[in-house]
Amino acid sequence: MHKIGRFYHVFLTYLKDALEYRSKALVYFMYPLVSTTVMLIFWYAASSTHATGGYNFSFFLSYYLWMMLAGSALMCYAEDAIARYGIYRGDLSAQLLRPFSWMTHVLFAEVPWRVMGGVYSVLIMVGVSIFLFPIQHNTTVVGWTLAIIAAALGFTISFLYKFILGSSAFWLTNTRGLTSLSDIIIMLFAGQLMPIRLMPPLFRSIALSLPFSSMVYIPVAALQGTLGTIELLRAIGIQLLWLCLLIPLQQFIWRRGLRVYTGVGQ
Amino acid sequence: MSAIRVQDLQKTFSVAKKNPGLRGTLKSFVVREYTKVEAVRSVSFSIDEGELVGFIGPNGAGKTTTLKMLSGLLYPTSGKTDVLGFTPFERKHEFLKQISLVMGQKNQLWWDLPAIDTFSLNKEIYEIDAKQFKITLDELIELLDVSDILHTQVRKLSLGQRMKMELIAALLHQPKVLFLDEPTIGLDVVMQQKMRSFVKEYNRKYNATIILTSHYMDDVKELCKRIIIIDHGSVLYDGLLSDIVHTYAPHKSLTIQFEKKVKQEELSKFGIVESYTFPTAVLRVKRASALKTASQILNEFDIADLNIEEPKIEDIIRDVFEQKK
Repeated sequence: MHKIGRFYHVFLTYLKDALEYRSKALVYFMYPLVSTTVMLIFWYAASSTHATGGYNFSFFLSYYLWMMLAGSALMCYAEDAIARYGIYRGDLSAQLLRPFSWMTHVLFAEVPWRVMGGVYSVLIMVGVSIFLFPIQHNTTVVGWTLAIIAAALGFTISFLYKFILGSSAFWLTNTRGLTSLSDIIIMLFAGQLMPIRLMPPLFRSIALSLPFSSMVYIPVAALQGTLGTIELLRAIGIQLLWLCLLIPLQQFIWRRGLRVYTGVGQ
Repeated sequence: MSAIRVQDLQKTFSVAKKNPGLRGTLKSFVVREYTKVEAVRSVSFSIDEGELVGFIGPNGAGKTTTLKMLSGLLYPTSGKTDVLGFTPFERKHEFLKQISLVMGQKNQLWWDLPAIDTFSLNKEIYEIDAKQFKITLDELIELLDVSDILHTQVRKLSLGQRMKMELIAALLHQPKVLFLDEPTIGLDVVMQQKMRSFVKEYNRKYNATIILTSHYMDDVKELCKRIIIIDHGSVLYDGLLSDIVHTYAPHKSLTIQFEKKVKQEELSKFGIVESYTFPTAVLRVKRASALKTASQILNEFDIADLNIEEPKIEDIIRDVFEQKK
């Protein structure tokens, strides 16, 4: 019970800290909002030409709104804080000296921002659903259950991936190049630019075999209800495989990184 | 009983090297060269439970790196460290609950929240009993006189106020071993004095083992009986502060106030004239004959005042660095 109390208090402190910057969360949310709007304008025009593989605007609208929610609530952005503040500036030092895992610290620092982004997305989705168009969603209890599992796994994969990416700062003088490259790859292969099912077969296979689709695309497809139960179970299996790979990789990189950590700045 | 044992501790950093100019930049872009920097070369010492030891040396001597290795932040290149029976780098929670590292200016306080929030968080993280937490916190608040700023956001506090809060955060769990790295840096003289009194009291009350690094010799003189002098990653001196005077200062200073003007040549036969502007002269004489020389001067001249003084610790330590280079 006492252990849970520790986690609760640490999380609460991060929540209080994040709430000091409420407007920042709103500004951060503008990125997925603007990109969603641009995408919808594009697909609105494209769907009127019947060149969208049989998918109508209602599909795209639902897809990108779910993607906006996933991008805000499931996709982690912790890599910059880990690299720039934790490792380069040395803030990690203070945390390493406490009897509490730094990874949990990073997780708790990230969650309030995801929650705030998620709330903004849900408000917009509810507004669109009431006043403009209905949003396609999963309709069965099993489907929703699996979608929630897929979303939780997607967030975990994203968190581990970004933690590893941020940890590259133990060896690199500047991680900006690597993180920018990662952003481009994610945009292409996580389904943020276009639904993976609309990609040419080769790209689709590549995208589905990479971890990025497991972060947001699979949860989005599950929430939208475009995957059958068997397909969804298979997708969750792939997510679990990625977790099995990422967890030991993160542990290994963390242990090796700490050996070369210099604590500069502290 | 030893609380800290260090044997042949060594830490080497790999640092990228780049020649100046465009050519150097281009060369570095293609092939980056690295050099090894020995921050700590070979350090060995042992500190008993309850000791308060001054760890001094010039910038880049290896003081902070050693403290970081002792607290478990850095992984040593080689050598053995034992703090309270633990290997620091393993950072076991039981170990971390018994130590604290306070580094001047940098902090563990939450910048955007009042310090009391960090204290409450530390209570949970260190699993401090609620009753004990209240007693310790009240005591520290009173000792450091910070009750009126507990609920102010840390970013709005002055450096001195932040340093006090930093100390409270570091001491709430009553660490048995305390590493203080420049705890008085940037503080005014009044605050420095308060901080020293506080550290002294903490050491006495909890029998805590404390290693203190500071560029202010007043910190060391007031707090530490024993000092370890380190330079270029090696220990130059490890012993009592009082002994360093006898070991490294074979001279004493005579400060003389003359009633009448005397010639500088007349003074030279008694020792080295360090300065002479009538009516004050400062002579450097041999420690063993200081009293005899003073007596001779009193007999020979009209003297208004005469003082025999030990050289300043700062000067002796500077001499230690110079001699060992």
